[in-house]
Amino acid sequence: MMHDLLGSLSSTEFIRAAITTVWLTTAAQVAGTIGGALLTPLRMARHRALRGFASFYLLIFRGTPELLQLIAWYAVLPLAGVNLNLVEIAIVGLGANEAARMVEITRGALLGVDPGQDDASRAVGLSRIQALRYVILPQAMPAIIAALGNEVNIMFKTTSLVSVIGMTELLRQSQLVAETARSPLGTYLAALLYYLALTTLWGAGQGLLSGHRGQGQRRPSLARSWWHALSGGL
Amino acid sequence: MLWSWHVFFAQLTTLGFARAAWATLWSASVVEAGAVAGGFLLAMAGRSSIASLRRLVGVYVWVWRGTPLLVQLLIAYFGLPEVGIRLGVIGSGVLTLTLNESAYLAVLAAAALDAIPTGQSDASMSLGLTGWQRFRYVIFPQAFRLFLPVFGNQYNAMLKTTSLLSIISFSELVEYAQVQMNVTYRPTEVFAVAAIYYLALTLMWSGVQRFLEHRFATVRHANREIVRDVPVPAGT
Repeated sequence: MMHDLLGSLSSTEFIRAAITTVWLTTAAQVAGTIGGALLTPLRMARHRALRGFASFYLLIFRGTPELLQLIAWYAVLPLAGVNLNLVEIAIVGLGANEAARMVEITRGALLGVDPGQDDASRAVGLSRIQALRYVILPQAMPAIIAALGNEVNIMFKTTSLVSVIGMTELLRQSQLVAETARSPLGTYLAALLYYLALTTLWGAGQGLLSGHRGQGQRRPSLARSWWHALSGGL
Repeated sequence: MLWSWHVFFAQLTTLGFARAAWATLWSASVVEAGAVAGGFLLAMAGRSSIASLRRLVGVYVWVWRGTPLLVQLLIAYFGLPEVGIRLGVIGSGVLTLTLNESAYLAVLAAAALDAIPTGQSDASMSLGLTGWQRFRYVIFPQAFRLFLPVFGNQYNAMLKTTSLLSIISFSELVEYAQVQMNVTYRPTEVFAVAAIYYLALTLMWSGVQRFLEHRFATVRHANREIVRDVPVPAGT
């Protein structure tokens, strides 16, 4: 077991697969964030049909498992005459789901801003768009960015789902190695450690960013807030 | 041809899909029931006076929440037999999901327990309640109310998370849909039916959730107690 564990940990295939996981996470999160930014105005639109479309999108993508969505994209797109390669399907599938999650985050953050802020901006003569751009959005941004950090953390783990449609990222790589390895346990433990390293390092990055927030109060040490985030305060 | 209503309705009305939906429902329910117990136990251990126990809980939460469920499932099903632990499909699937979900629920349970003012504990201590009595009759009932809405969301998510059990060939909705897809070569209809079952399950749960939250709501409860306690004057 130790032999396979250490062998996998240091193999170039695993390192390459980990890099794939990192850039797939980035690509899917960027796609999802853009999708969410486009869908949020629809979800909050005055026009009923636009709102209805966004609500239907959310119902489908939040109401069904992401795994089902990925397999469906993979199986149905070619039937509809759309031929994408595995990487493109993975980004579309993960991104479409993430867009729905981002709509809820962005909408929640925008609704969290005091409505008096909008009233006041309109009263001083700003248009609806200007009020959003210069008054509401800047105040909603901290909440959105904090949530975005968690989304990336979740996305590191969610990308493992694309192994099911055959894209070679960290999990699929470990499955391929485990097929012939003497110890599948060691191989999968290596994958586990890689994922744990990725989410833990990302957690440190988040801690660094959030450490600069909150003036006045005594700030906890960086290591402490890092561990607090990783262990969920337990 | 991309869509056929005939195939769609044929799939929608087969017993196989209903059975798969049942598997999704019971596995999610068993997992959540176990994870509520596990989550509160972990939360209590994480707030205990023993430092090493607290640290252990922290590490547990870190590892289970920091790695993908899919990897955890593969380790439990394909890896553990190597060291002589054979749990089978249902055993390893349900156990892994429960241990994973316990870590998430522990964080939520701890937040609910933390939200109860320390005065509650102090007051019950001054009334002479033991540690267990304080938890059972004073702290837990209040924390559980705060916990219930977030638990509802977790259960809703778990209905969908059980789809990952398809990777170890547990026959729930996604696994069954994949089998049907390979039999019929009609992915669009098959996935639409699976999606409808998932939406029906989550819709059903939101009904149950609303009922539960109403049932345990403090205000309604208090009102009823007061009404019941008012002595009714004779002759009215």
